[in-house]
Amino acid sequence: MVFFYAPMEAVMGQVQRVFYFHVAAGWVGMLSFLVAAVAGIAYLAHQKEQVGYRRPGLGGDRHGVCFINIVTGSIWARPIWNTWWTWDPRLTTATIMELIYAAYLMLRQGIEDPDRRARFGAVYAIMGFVSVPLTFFSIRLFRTIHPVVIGSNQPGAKAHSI
Amino acid sequence: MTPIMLQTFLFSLLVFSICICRSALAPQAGRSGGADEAQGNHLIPLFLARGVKMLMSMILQEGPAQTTNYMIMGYVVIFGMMLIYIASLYLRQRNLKQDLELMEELKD
Repeated sequence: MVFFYAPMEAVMGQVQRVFYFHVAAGWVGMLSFLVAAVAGIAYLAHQKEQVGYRRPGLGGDRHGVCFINIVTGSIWARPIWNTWWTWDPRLTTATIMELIYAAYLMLRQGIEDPDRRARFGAVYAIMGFVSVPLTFFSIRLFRTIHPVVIGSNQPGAKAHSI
Repeated sequence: MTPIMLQTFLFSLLVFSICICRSALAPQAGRSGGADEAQGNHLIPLFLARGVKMLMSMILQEGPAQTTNYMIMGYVVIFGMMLIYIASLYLRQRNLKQDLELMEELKD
């Protein structure tokens, strides 16, 4: 569908096709962090093992999804913004979010005791979730060159920002 | 095209053409000889034509940007990460099976 059905963007050309994965990866990443935080609350509230906090390797999937989001965004930015990276609020908060969850993985792997690992992981996931709304609203709260596609009435925001 | 846009376009064209002509004639400034001057005079229309073509291509973009290489790079990353993820799932499954077999052996 991406390669054969979707038409080529009139200005950006073929690189726009990475958006179909870039945006989806961003949403999946943020929603999976929400799931992690909700599961953390559920674990702390009920101390149940079924919520998955005793299972190793839970956070690696969303970590990979966020990595796809950031790297594809950087690849798109090179021809469109003429730079691989800029310390834009959205890019910075997304990277902070990614690093927070990279630290989450390291924290989980660094604790041997399953109960302590589950408890610490749950608390860290809840605390780390603060970065998700900050990332989501960063393009609305701060001055940024990142496009605001959803919830913006500005005509220029629906296209690419240069 | 509005009159202001047309005026801006023509003014930009004039300034750009002057800059191109000046830069084309600059290397000839210190030289002497009729052949060099004739060559410099011959280059003016050439540089002017190039300047106009460049300006027109900037203002009236003919087609989308050539960004196929970046798209390929992006999808290499995407599918690479997917392959790594599938491989990690396979390895996890294999390790779990090995653990299960070991536990069954210990149980027996």
